[in-house]
Amino acid sequence: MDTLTKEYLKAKFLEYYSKNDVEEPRLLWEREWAFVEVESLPDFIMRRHIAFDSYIELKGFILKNVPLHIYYSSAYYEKPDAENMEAKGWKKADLIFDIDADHLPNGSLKEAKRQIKMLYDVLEEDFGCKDMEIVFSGSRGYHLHVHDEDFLELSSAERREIVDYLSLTDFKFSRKLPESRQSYRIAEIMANEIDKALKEGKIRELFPNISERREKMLLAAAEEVVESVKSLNFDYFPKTLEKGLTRLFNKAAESVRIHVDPPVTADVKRLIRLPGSLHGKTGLKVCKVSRDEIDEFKPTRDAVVFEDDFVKIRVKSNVKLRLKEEEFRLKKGKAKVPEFVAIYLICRGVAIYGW
Amino acid sequence: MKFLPLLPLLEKYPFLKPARHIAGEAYHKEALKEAEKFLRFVFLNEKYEKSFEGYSLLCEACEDKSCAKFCKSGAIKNERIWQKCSLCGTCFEKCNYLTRVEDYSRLLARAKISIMSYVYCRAVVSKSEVALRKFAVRAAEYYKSLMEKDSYDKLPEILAANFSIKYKSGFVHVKDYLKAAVRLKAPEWKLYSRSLNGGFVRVSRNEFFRIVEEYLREKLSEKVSYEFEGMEKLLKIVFEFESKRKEMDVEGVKNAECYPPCFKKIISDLKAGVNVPHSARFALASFLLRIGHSVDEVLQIFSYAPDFDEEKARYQVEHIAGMRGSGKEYEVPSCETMKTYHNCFSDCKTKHPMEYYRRCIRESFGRGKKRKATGVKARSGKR
Ligand code: SF4
Ligand code: SF4
Ligand code: SF4
Repeated sequence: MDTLTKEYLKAKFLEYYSKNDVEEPRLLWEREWAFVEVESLPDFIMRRHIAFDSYIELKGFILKNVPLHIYYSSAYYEKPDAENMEAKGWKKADLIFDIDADHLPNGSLKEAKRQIKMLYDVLEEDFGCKDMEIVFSGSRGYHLHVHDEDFLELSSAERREIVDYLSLTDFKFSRKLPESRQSYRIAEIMANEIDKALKEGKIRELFPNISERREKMLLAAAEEVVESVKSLNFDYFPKTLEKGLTRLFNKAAESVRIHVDPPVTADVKRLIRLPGSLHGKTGLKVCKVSRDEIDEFKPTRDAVVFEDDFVKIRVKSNVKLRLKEEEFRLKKGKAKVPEFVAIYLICRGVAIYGW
Repeated sequence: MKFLPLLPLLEKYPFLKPARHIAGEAYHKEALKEAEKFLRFVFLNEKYEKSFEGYSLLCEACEDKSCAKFCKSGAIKNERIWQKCSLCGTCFEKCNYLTRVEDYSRLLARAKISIMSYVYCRAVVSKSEVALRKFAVRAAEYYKSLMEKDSYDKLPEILAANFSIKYKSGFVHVKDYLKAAVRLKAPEWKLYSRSLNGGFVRVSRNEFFRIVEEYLREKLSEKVSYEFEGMEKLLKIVFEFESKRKEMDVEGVKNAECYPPCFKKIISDLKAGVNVPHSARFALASFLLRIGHSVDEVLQIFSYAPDFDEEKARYQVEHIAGMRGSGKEYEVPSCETMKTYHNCFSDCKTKHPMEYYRRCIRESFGRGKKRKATGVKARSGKR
């Protein structure tokens, strides 16, 4: 990236940080802070092991250095600015989950949203978490931070067990499913599928090798069949239909499965993006979204912070994007675009500033 | 009378926190004898049986409850609220309940003997890492077996209070559950096999004791330093166990003296904080696992590395151990491979580090030498 572009980006980020507050994490002074500065581009050099005593100090640092990326540690330390982990003195750490659209089977931000909602609800209902925050990452996913004291001292292995619970690692079909909420969730979906198939006369689609006698019997007892599946009882389905059951189970499990990124949760000293800061690779705002508002939340609209004034840029290759409910198609070469588009493209590395 | 309600419990479960208030050398000889029996049970597989009187906490029948005002946690109302109690012992110390003096003295003596013998045992095994580990496992198992036979209905609550486990009639908080469950590899302990609701996991009484066993094992793995008269005699039992163990495991023995120069060097580099290349770490892990070290022991060695990331390292070591991925255990690389990656630091006249190691073990035993490996000559490489 050329100097002019860097200067422009820095000026704009500074403008943002002068007008807006960033989120103040709890016990800010027990956190390690890390920054990537505009100057380091195109390399990604992180300055770590920084600590602040107060919000004012943090804000002062941000205004002075205008970082491109701002991170703080999920962990609380005795000495957050010590250079090595032992000297830092780990006390506890927020429990963090990351759902990244790029790691999902169908890879969309919409699916990421469905998953983060599911995650929130499972953590609330099953784990009894009450103090949680959902954060849009500023790019391709959502983070969830759990602050309930009960969960802060969990070790890495213990956190990974929670991941296994959510993502159903190695959870396989058997006729004796454990009586757990996860089993019941899956069974409920299986039962509904079977119910639908029975009503539409399509049970053979689920169980291609079903005998006519068995088909009749299931139809006759449809209600009981569905209820028994819901209560984890598969006795209506003989051994010969095992394959169909397994297929049905796997499909149902897939929609219950929450694809949290395992290393993020298991890491008890993770660096995470600060809510309220800007994501340096998109220029979008890393923002908190409450559980009630998430349905309405649209990252490409609600996380855009820059203005509409026109800016001259040079686009490096043809691009198409959607921001603030507007579609932009740009050809390689000179272009005049609203500021928020310019910054997005510059951050992505597909444009430079000026003609 | 001081501690009266707790005495039968302390005799049976001398690891409970209030035990320290009545520990003392009063019944030294009896305690010593008891400790010897217990250590023989733990290390030499001798029989150990003790009978206990049935009991229930007198507090349940106590109308007085004048001890309540001493409880800082406000855990005593008409009944004891176990979820608030930390078993600190204060109320029991101020206990006003009266009984016949003979009965009291008998209960007190039995409790004291049991507690002191427990202290002696822990002090003795603290002198040896291997013994300590073995003791922690066996003793925790033993106390769990007592719990399982114990029919007192408040026992889980008492144990939960003692170990600060959040527990309420058949439900244990998921954070406390996880602490034990991650060590218990069986599928029924996977969290998704459990009914988990609002942060609480349903467990049976015996499952709860299994969880307590893990907490207890951790506690018993802590070293206790305490010297007392007659300690040597008890130490002999531990030594007897250690030497038997050495004789037994010629093949599975782990003798650091016999590690080939390459792995010695990698270990010493790790310990010195030198950044060791990935290929060397991989080779070392496969070697250590192969000669019988556990994943945790291997991680212990890797934890010296400057960039140690437990999560990542565990994943990799488990992978090498065949616990993940393909499920196949990785082979220790041959000397040739070691040389290709510049991880060989000597010329051992052997084709495979395992061969070096086995030969060394065999020869050191063959010559009746306990430690020194003399069989294989190695020009050790430059450091
Ligand atoms: S005085 Fe207190 S400790 Fe003693 S029996 Fe009564 S309730 Fe229990
Ligand atoms: S043992 Fe429990 S009830 Fe008694 S004083 Fe301590 S906290 Fe209170
Ligand atoms: S010759 Fe083989 S055993 Fe000896 S140091 Fe080299 S690699 Fe290791």
